[in-house]
Amino acid sequence: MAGELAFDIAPAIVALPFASFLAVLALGNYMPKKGASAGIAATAGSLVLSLFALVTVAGGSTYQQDLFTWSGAEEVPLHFGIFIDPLSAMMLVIVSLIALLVHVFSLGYMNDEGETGLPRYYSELGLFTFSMLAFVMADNLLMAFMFFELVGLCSYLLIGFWFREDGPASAAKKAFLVTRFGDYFFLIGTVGIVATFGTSRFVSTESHTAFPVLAEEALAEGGHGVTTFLGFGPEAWFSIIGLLVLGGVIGKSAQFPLHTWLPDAMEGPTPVSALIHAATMVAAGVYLVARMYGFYALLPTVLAIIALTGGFTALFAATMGVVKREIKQVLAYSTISQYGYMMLALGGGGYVAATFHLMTHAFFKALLFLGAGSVIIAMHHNEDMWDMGGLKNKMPVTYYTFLAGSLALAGIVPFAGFWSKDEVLYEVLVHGLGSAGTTGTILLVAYAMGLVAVLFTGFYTFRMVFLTFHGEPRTETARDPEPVRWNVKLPLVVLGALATVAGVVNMVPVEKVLGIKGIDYLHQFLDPETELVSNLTAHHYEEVLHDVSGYTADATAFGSESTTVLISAGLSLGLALVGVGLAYALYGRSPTPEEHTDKLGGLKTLWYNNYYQDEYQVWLASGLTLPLAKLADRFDQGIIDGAVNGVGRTSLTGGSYVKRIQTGIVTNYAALLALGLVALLLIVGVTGGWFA
Amino acid sequence: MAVDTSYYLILSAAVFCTGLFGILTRRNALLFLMSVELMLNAANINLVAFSQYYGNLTGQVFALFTMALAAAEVAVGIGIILVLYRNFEDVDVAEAATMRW
Amino acid sequence: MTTRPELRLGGHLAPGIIAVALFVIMAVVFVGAPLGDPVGFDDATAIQNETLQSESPTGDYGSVSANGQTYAVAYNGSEETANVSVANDPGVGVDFREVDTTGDGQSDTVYAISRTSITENIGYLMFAVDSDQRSAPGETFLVAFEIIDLVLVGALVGAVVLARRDEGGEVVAALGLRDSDESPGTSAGQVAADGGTEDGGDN
Repeated sequence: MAGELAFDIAPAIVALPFASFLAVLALGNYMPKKGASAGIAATAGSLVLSLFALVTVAGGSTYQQDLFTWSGAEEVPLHFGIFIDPLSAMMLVIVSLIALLVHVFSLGYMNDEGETGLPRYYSELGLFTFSMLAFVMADNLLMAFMFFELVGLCSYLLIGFWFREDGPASAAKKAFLVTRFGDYFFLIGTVGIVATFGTSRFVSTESHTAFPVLAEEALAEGGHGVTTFLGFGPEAWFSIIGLLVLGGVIGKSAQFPLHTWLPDAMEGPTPVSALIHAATMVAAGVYLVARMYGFYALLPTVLAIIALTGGFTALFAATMGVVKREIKQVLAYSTISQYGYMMLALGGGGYVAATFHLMTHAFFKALLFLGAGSVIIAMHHNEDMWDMGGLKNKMPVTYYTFLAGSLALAGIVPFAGFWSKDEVLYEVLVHGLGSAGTTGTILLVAYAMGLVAVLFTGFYTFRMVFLTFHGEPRTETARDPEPVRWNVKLPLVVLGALATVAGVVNMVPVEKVLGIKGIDYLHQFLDPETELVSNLTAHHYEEVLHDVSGYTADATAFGSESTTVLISAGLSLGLALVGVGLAYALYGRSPTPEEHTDKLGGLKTLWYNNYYQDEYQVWLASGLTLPLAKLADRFDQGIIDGAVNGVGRTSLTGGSYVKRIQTGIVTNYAALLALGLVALLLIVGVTGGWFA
Repeated sequence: MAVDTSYYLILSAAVFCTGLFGILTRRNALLFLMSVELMLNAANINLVAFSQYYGNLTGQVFALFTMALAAAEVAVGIGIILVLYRNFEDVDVAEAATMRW
Repeated sequence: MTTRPELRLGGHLAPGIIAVALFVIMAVVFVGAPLGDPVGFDDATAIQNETLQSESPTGDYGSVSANGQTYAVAYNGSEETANVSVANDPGVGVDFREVDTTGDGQSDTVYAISRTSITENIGYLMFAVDSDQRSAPGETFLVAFEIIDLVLVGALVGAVVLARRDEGGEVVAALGLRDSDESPGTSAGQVAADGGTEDGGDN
């Protein structure tokens, strides 16, 4: 186990981007490409090491190592440690790969465009990559929380990269505040977990037990061995903690109702958007749930909430994506929607499906963002799709890779997105059909929302493609776009290839329908047979879900298993194709498409204004919180400060009268002194009998 | 043959009260200084009187020191009055009330 | 016409009542105070016509009583004065002389017992020296003397510092620096404190 070279040098995966951050921060102006080279070298190094670790993990090893105990060595040890299992190894590869490609792309998007402040940009990218890698590697929740926060900080810095303009600065603030709102709950949840279990480890070691295992034992034994608070039973208390941690997830992964920061975050540089959406910030939330899935699998209530939130967000965000004008806005809503799918999968018992979708989404969403970045370069930073059109022939590399990404996003076979989205829906469906009672109903409702969202996804994705690349150019810029260089095309090609073929790692439908055994590589990969992670495997989760939460997969509801697979796949593919077809009919057929969104009437206004989510949140802040805060302020100013000030003012007033004794004239002082002496002598003399 | 100590004390009280009277009724800083000298010497009279009363020389030696200190005090006092005059164009102690509050 | 001092009466004398009251109280207290007789310093008490209570066979010394104490006395015949210190009581000396006190042309014998004078005693005490010469009790004051010494130096410096003036950016002090207060021309070649002339441009 230990002693594997890949694991011994694993800390370097994290250390390299951090070194790059420090170096670029200090010396960026003197470095080649203003620090980009250092970033590229560091992330490339991380990628190589991550791949090495992945290969080693695939060989059946896992690795856990405490690095540094920084507090409470006796009672509740709080430590930094690294943990590499299939899930984190996969995520490490994704993060370092996307980070590398984003660095390369930034050469074209930032350096070639002559942006200023590039050392700052690249150092922040380095810190961002470092934080996310460390978050992925964390072997306990507290460490994860710390780097979760660091990720949030970095996205704040990067979204607000052009801080001299109003938009990015305010968007960065919004992203920071909204995610911070969720993170409050996460922090409380983390404290709760440490207080309840005495540890926040994800993984059991020889000397310590992981908290999901403790929770499982506690539930089995009726609350033995854990400390619950506020008089709740173990299950209710665990659910509360789980929901608190979920608060952070909802904020970071932009789930309803804390999704509002994400569309605004489009104000940041496009490569940053790619990084945030594909691999780092937003992925962190879903990854966290997957990381501690052993805990959530014990809590059917929380799972139902996750599933509902995910399904609802998937549909909700997809509808808003339908009417947007800016290419990046559409992508932003698609991100929210896709992360909704992942949450749906997690809530629906599809741990592998969620992980799978996390991976494929990372590829095709990074691709789409970088493609959009390429378009934006070509369009001289005009993002309005109605000003584009006909870019297909002018930029074929971008077009075909973007198309691959769009097909993957829409879920068209055989692109990567199809396989993962199909598995998400399939898992939710079979668990919904198989589970009894409320759980099954909730899952089916969530499934229905996810299914409808597929239609919208297909539609808005191809509306975007048709408006951007097809038809006649609608502006002068679109007629004569600025060319992009290799540093833009290379990442696109790499990601395009991945978005096309990444699905082969987990072609479960093919396996089930055709009966070919052993091509569900991801399932096998996430189900290792090592001692260390025996309670972190996919089949363990399945057992726990079944035994504790009452999740049952019923794949034979429509006859045989292959029928169910086919029905599920056919439904989602069919709906996606309907969406694509609709988009073609409305925007793709005519070389000069018209705006059809107005036909939606009030619905368009509602969608265009994002269901007035921002408005109600602003109202919450200014209409509810502000008066409350003012009330508290008045209490503070009036009563607490008032008491203090009152004491001060009384002394001051008293002093201003008493001070008049101090005339500054020596004679008066002397007179008072003498008078005092006379009085004293009289008193002492009379009482002492001097005058007798 | 020796004078009764209480007469010395009454003399001392008279001198002291003369000094006090001066301080209480005059505003001229120089007169202040003189009055303070009077009071100081009233104390000297007491010291010497009680030295004689107890047959102990300490009081007399101490009176000498008091005189030396009085000299020092006058030196500083005159200096202060000089500054007072420079700053207020007057030696009226009631003038120097600008730093009271 | 000369003016003479006048007693200025008026309301400003009112606080003086306090001083008067204080005096009255103190006087009453002092008069009524049960102080008793002072011990005093028996300084050079002359004892006339005391006869020697005892004499040596050679007439060189004898003893005499005075003030409740017995002193040993030495003398040399009847003409000479001898000063002999006597043990037992530091600072006490006996002056022995013969004086014609009755005016009959005959010398009567007078013994005068003297002690070290008060002033001398004060000097010894102040500098804490010659403890065997002191005749009156008291504390020594050498340390206090040195402290007062320093205080006086401090007062001197303080007085000089206080007397400095700052005029036109120039410090004018009692010592050393020239006075720039006078405007040029009012008194040409005025001698400054350091002996040089004012405005030393063309001297």
